[in-house]
Amino acid sequence: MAPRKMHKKGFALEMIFSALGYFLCVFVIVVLLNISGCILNKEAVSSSVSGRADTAASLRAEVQLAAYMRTQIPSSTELFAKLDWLKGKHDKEFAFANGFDPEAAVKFLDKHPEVYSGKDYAGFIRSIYAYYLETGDKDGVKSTFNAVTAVLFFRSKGDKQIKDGHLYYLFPVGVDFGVLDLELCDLGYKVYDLCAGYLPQQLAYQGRTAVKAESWVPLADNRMARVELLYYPEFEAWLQGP
Amino acid sequence: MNKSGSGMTGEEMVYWLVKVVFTVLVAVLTVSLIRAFIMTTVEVGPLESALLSNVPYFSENGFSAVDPVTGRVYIGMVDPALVSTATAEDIFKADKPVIIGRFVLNQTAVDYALHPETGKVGCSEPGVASTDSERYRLWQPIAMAAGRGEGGKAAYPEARYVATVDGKGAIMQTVFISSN
Repeated sequence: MAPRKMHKKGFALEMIFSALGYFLCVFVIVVLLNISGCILNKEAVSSSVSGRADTAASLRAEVQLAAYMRTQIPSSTELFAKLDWLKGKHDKEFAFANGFDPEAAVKFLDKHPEVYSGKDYAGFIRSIYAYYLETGDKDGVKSTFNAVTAVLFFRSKGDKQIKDGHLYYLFPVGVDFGVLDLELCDLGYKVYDLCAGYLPQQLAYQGRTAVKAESWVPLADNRMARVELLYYPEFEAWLQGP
Repeated sequence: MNKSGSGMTGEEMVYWLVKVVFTVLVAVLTVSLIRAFIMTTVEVGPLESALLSNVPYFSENGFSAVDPVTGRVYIGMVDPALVSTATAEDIFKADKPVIIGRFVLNQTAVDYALHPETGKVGCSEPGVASTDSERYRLWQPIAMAAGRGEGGKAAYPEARYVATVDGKGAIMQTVFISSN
């Protein structure tokens, strides 16, 4: 009988020490994971995921700005036809801030084809800078930049509630030449030498957070122009359907 | 051991049974603890779709124009001829079981206003690429009915401006739908 009792006592002790050992290991693991920040609550993880989504939105904005820079300015015929259409829209459904004046732009472009002919958008910015340095024509530069940017990058969303069936908008683009101070416009939080943008009232509340993309254009006098695009991911997601 | 020296006594068998139960309990608790760290109910759809929507523009086998000599990928410059379901299926095949995507290349607003008869930018199958056409057809109405982030399917749409190889601009409308 005696050996059996010993066996029982030994077994019970083994169980107790195993349990203690197990919980000690768990405790150590939990402490280590806490120290390394691996134990997070749902809110913290969600917030982290959302932060990464913002980074992805920023990447998307950068790609779009790169696409802007590589877009060719159309031929004069096509450009003027587009400006004509935009002028009609301007009168009816929307108004651009910052002095959008398509008629002045048409006159300017007709007179100065060297500013845009055969150039992409980056080349156009470079040319318009050179033109401004040469002539100091603030109004011509301002209205032309505005109109060409609108013609190229104007967007729309089908909306049955609107008479025309479309809601139009233009994500703000700003250009800063660095040395010049044209003081032509601002995009809400910052003044730029040149800028263009139109966010309709119906959508203003949707675009709460802007993601900023930045690009640089080398200028003729070895300076760099900074081009910024303000992109609103929430706003854009709201506009599209599955 | 029993008296004859073979097998266990009933008492020993009970002890072993308790020991096995305890071991199983410890194993289950350990696995549960690890699972508790790994498995959370965090919604990763927005992040996943935001990242995946960038893939075709950065991939050498995606929608962007590629220099045949240097292999350089022109980010932001789409070759409409490459926008096809075959391309999308190829680059997204690893993610197919969990999320589906659809890309549609459209004219810009002004181009469409002037030439509405050519609404889609010229591609073989006009500007549409899907990672899984069949599943998109099934999932899209569910995502549409449930609204974003609700119900059985969640849709994550976006639209972006892209330049095309001919120097013109286009709008790429993208939607990823994931299963909740």
